[in-house]
Amino acid sequence: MTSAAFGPNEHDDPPADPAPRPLAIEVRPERSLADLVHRHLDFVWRLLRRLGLSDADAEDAAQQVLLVAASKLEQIEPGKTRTFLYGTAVHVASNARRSARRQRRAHVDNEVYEAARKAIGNRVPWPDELTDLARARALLNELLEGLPDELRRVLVLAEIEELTLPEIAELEAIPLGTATSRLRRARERFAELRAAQRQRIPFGAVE
Amino acid sequence: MKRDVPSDAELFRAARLERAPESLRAALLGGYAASSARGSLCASGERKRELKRDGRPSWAAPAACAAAATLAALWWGSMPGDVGVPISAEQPMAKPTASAVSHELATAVPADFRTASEEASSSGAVAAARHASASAVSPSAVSLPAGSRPTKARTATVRDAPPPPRASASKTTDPSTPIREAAPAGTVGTSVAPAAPASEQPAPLTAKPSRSTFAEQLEILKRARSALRAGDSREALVVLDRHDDALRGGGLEAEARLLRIEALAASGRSAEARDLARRFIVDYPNSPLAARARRFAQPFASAE
Repeated sequence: MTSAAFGPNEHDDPPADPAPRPLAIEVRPERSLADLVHRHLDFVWRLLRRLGLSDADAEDAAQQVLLVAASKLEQIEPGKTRTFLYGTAVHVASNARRSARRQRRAHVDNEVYEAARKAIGNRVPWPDELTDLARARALLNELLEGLPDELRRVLVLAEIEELTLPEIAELEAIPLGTATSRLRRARERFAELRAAQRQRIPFGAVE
Repeated sequence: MKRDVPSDAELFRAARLERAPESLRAALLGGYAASSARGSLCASGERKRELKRDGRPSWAAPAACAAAATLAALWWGSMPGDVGVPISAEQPMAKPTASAVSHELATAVPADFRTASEEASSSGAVAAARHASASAVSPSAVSLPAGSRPTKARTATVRDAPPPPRASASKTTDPSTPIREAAPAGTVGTSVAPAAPASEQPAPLTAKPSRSTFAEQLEILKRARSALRAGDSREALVVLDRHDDALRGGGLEAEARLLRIEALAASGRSAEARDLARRFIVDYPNSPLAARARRFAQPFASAE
């Protein structure tokens, strides 16, 4: 009943992705901030969120990233926009996280998440507390926090942005072999963290 | 009720489906109208109405996305050295370029905005004469299109200039209320805009963007600052709104924006002030004014 509302195979099919491969989007160079927003904002946003920024910080950081890119449009080589955005986003995210730590200010959504969790006895909140997607993202962020930054980035690019290893190597400016080994290590570490998370959090607990 | 453990694939899928919030998209596409609180104003019609109602400046128009890039480029990229009016050594803040003057002014502003601005524009004739006599005026100065350079030290009393016919410049906090600006006794040199002949009703300072002179911008800021100091933040906003075009893209844009932030905060519109302050910090991270803007951007900016 519920699943029917979402249509058949909603959970089995890979998400419909009519867009071409991310790096292939850049058929013509971006000429304005609007171009950047239309083509890359979601990419930048997801990246910032998975690199650990709260909603509020990600919003500020995304604006910063895109405005910097807009100011440098002339200098960005054709086809390298995404690389530039990626590098900028990683840098901005790193600064923002440092700043957030300095201020000892927990991420807003983490606060909500943690508060909800405490309120219900360290159990993962249910949909009426957090939606399924938000819950999954919160869990994912928690796992990613346990990864070293370089592994975290590679895993995000591979699993969430679905980039190929050569594309990842290009964005990270590392050799293909390094990208490959990092992704392997990232997956291994992720699996360990996942197992630990399953043990720590009693999934399937009854309300 | 019992729930399944989300699989790895579900976790990644959830992340993959995440999209940037519409408020962010709208903020970026709408230039500097960044505001998470205004996230629902994506539809341009609604947005325009809303902008008009609450007196957002004209640069908040959706079409300003290109302007945002341009301004960002001006700041981060190659800022032309001779943005505005070279000013001779007799001026207290004598610096060769408007950008340098702007910087100088910026450092002077925190103590008392008047120190530089009122000195500089206490006599419009002097300011304009400086302008005209400055030997190093660059014909390519970006804020001074060829047709707008003052030919001589013409002065015009700045009085209650009617808002220009352009809708963007007439966004005041309450358009239906006729508001008289506090007309200063001083005068200001105005550029001779070809399409704006002098008459008994002076042409608005904001005939066209970037056609104003540095002295005009200074005068506008001075008036807004005076209103704010007198406790009339609404009037300050009216002045800034009315002359927004004149200030936009000029050498004193940062000062104007900061002034707007302060006026918004003073008038109780702290959310808007915060949003603008955040944008300010992003746009002018190295400006001496950024420290002041941070006070209004508490949630994001570092506390110190």
